[in-house]
Amino acid sequence: MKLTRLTILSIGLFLGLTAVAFFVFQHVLPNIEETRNYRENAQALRAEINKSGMAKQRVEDAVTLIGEKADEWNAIMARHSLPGSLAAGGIDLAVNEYQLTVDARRFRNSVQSQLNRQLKYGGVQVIGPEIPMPTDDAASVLASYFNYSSFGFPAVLYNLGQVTVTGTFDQIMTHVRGWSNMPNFLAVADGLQISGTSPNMTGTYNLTIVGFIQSERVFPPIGGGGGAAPAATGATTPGGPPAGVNVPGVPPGQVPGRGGVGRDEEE
Amino acid sequence: MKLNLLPKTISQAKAARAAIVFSIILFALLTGGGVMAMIWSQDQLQKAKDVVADLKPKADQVVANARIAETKMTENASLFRNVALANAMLDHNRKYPELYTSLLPYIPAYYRLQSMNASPAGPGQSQVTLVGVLKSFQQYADLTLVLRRIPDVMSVSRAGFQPLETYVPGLSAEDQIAMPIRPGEGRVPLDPIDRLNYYIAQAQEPGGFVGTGGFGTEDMTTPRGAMPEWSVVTMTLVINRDLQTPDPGATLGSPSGSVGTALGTPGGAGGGAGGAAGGRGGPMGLGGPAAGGPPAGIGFGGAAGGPPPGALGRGGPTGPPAGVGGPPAGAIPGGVGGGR
Repeated sequence: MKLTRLTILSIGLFLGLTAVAFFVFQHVLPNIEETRNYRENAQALRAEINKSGMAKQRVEDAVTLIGEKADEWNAIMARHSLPGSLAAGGIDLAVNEYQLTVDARRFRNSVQSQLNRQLKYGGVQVIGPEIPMPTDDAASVLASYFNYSSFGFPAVLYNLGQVTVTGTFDQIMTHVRGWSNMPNFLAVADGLQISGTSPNMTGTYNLTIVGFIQSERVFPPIGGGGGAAPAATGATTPGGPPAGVNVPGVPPGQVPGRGGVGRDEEE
Repeated sequence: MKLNLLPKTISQAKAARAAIVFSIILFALLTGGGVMAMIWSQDQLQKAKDVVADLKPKADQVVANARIAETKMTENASLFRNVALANAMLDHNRKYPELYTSLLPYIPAYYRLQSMNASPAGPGQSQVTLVGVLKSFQQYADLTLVLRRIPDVMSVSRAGFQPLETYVPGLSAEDQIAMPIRPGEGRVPLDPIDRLNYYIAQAQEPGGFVGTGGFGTEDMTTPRGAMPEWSVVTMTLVINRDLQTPDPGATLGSPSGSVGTALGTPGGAGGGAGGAAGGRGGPMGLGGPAAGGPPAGIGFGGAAGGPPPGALGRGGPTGPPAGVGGPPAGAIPGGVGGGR
């Protein structure tokens, strides 16, 4: 059978169009699409690069802000944190946990004295709350009384409940405002109620005080003593010397970990 | 005259050959065009890729810079929380005195206060309850209006007034005049003699304030109540003042950056830094005035083990890493197990 010219031309045209279609659909269009994606990507990248100044500014702002907050915090802590020694009204936590049970009671009495002094601020009369006594359990005193496990750092927190004061209106107002000035502690007096007939007024409020302890170091738990402190302090290395037994570097008859400056000074 | 004596098939074969050649040329042209288009598109794609490859490191650097800010803020979240908590605690002690002192100028003289208390009623709003005594129903009405003049007061409600003022009763068969009487009292008789007896029956031994509302007692510390014919009135004010109390326990025990339950709105971290340090609560951040808090890994004899968690170390000496320093005097030396 002979093919006509038209048929031959049609076949040629068909094959040519097939080839064109192959290149267009297989390569050209995907390439164009991909190119467009890359260009959009480049545009987005340029937008990011244009934010370079902003990013640097953010870092500078962050550093500035952190610096300001650090200064602010240091200023607060300079007045409202507990010193790292008993003699100065705070406590040294760099003593072994058995010594800490002893020091904690002295510390508690010191805190009570400081609280009593503050409670009389403004000239009011008070039936004062009492600071709770620390536990004598060496294994848990650091974690429980000094909140080392729950806060992750040593601090005392006393929810002292309701405090009742009597005096004139001005005296009570001065007294409540005065909690902001309590040395060594951050205190918050909440829910103030005033009643009575002037000038014999009665004020009641709830008192909470927090003492951040400036402790350069905390003595780790003495081997196998307790459960809470190791996890809390992060002293993950197991073992350690038994209390006062064969501690290298400690002469016989001396107790390890009694290096507290405040306690020494006190003694 | 020329005659084409060649058979028809010869001219057809020639024409078919030409058509084939033309078809091949057409196919080649179309294929060549397709190839050219492909090459062009690949070239464009490669250029776009090169541009992206050139820009990406720069953009990555910018993003990395931006992340530095976020990282710094996140690392110091506890610092922001601590500062916010401390400031909230210190500020809160002034809030109640300031509130009560600001209310006093708006308390009229005829309303003698017996007690004041306030409690937070939500973010930025508080409820103040005033209990006091006043005499007349007119004062009771005036007091509500007076208290509404206090700035930031949203609402004032009142309760407790006991009306003792006389009123005119309706006529009855026995009483055709209806003289004014007090609530709870019987009608005044019309007959003069009966009326005299009525008033005689009403008479009481004069006592004044003695024994009423704590008046007349020697103990000056006992609060005085309502005077005769006065009422104890409770006024409740909803006022736009923030009395929400910081909760140190919940705040310090919470993860860094979170907000204590009683704290209310957290303080923002500020600006474009990403707000990583949102709220309050959290452990001691900075090293305080003396030094850092406890190091993460505590070693025997390791001197000041660096800054406390979340600390910058500003204001305090930065010690060697835990376990590196020599033993302080009197401490257990760090030799156990190679410096724990």
